[in-house]
Amino acid sequence: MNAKKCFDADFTNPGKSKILRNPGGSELVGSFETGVAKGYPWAHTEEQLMDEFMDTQLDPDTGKRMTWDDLLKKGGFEYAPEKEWRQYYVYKTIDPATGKPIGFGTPSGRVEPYSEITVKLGRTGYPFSLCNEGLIELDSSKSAEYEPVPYYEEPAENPNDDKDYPLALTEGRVPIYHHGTLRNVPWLREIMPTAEIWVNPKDADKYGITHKGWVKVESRRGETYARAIVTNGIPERMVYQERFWNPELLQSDPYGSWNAMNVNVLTKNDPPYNDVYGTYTLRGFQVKISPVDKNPYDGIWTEPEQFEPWLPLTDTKPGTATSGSWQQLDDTTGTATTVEDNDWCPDPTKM
Amino acid sequence: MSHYCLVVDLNLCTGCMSCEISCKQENDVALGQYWNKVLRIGQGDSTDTFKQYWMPTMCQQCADAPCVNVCPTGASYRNEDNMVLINKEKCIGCRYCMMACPYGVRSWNKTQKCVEKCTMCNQLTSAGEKPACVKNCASHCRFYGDLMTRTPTCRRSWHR
Repeated sequence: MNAKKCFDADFTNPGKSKILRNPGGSELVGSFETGVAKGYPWAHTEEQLMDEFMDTQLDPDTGKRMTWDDLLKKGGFEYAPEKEWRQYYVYKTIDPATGKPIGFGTPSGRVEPYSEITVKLGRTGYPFSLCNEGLIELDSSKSAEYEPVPYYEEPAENPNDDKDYPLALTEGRVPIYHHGTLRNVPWLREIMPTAEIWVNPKDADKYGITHKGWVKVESRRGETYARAIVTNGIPERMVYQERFWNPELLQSDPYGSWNAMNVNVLTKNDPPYNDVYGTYTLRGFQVKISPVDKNPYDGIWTEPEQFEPWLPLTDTKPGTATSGSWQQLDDTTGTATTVEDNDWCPDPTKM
Repeated sequence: MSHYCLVVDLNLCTGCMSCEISCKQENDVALGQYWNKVLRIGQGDSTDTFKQYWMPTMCQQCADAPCVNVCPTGASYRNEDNMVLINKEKCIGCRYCMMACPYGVRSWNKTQKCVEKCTMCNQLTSAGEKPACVKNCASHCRFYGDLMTRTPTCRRSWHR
């Protein structure tokens, strides 16, 4: 019974049930069995299928239902008119029905430190679960499900009495990268070719760290490497490291490079967890540092010139570039070759 | 006399390096060389008193430019608009100007074997556009204009 429902177009896609009927109305065009035999229960050609997928799309210019052909004529995407852009201070908009500001999208219309929507999501899956459809109302007279006001709790690894791992590590970001993006831009990587760890000068003296020297960073979970920046910008007994996932180690060990300077091998994922969303401690755990004599891995690019293979190719004909590949013209022979985007990354075997 | 110049409001600079990168793209500056470099300046003997700010450095267009004075061939020169520029055809690569520059903002072009520096994107500004670094500055802290005529963009920063 359930297995049949899985394949039943009416069941799995209730909004599409009318497409089993002919344009006139009541009579079914095809039964369940014949539809499957043809590949799709509701469409005989790909265009017909796409037409049905376009079912809910309205042409913004005419307000009428769009067909697949209309979409092809219009192109893949279209900018929203300026008045439909997301605006600031939407909550200040006056509701014509009440004459008051519409407020936020919460049950009370106000900022809610105790989020009832989150509790409802956690208990029933609404609004993302189709099963409950928001019919279950929570008893808001019950006591709070979580503490809405921030409170203090001793960290699991306490900086005050940790003898083995004396330094508290905090993570952060740099403005020139976002997560893994732009790490392959040579002009950005020459600024920051390797991971940096900020160390206070007093701690640097204590552990023998030198400015720009290599440092081994260890926590209870693992160990990784970084280069020291000795600065007063970080207090004593604390270090800072950016979430550097590189270097690529293209010439030595590309597949093992993920743990060379990755602060994620140090982070902890055990309790305590966040009461509401369950996140764990990614910033604020204990590490120890020790100096390393030389470059800990082979093939780490540290000098600006080493990033030259990633520079964009200059001998391109203007206007021929497309996303992913472009034409490169050879001046001597006059032949054009297609350069794929992958060529930005040099082949480690040829270097 | 005009005095074209780049003015930077350090209070607004966020250290995003957009000026540095766009300069290198526009002018094809080699890796490891900088016409415009954003320095991270940290001052203070302890963490409590520590202050850090970002300082973009580029040719300051000195009123009495040492690079022009020491250049033996006249490759470093002032053009009709009073800008300090380099004529690469005349440069013999002696690098006296790099030693004389009080700001250390001249760079050595290995392939062409001559000295280069910020031209304030002459190829753009002479066509009425803004320099690449000014166009791409994310925090709008860079201004280009003539200090003597007090063009509006420069004046805003000048009087701040």
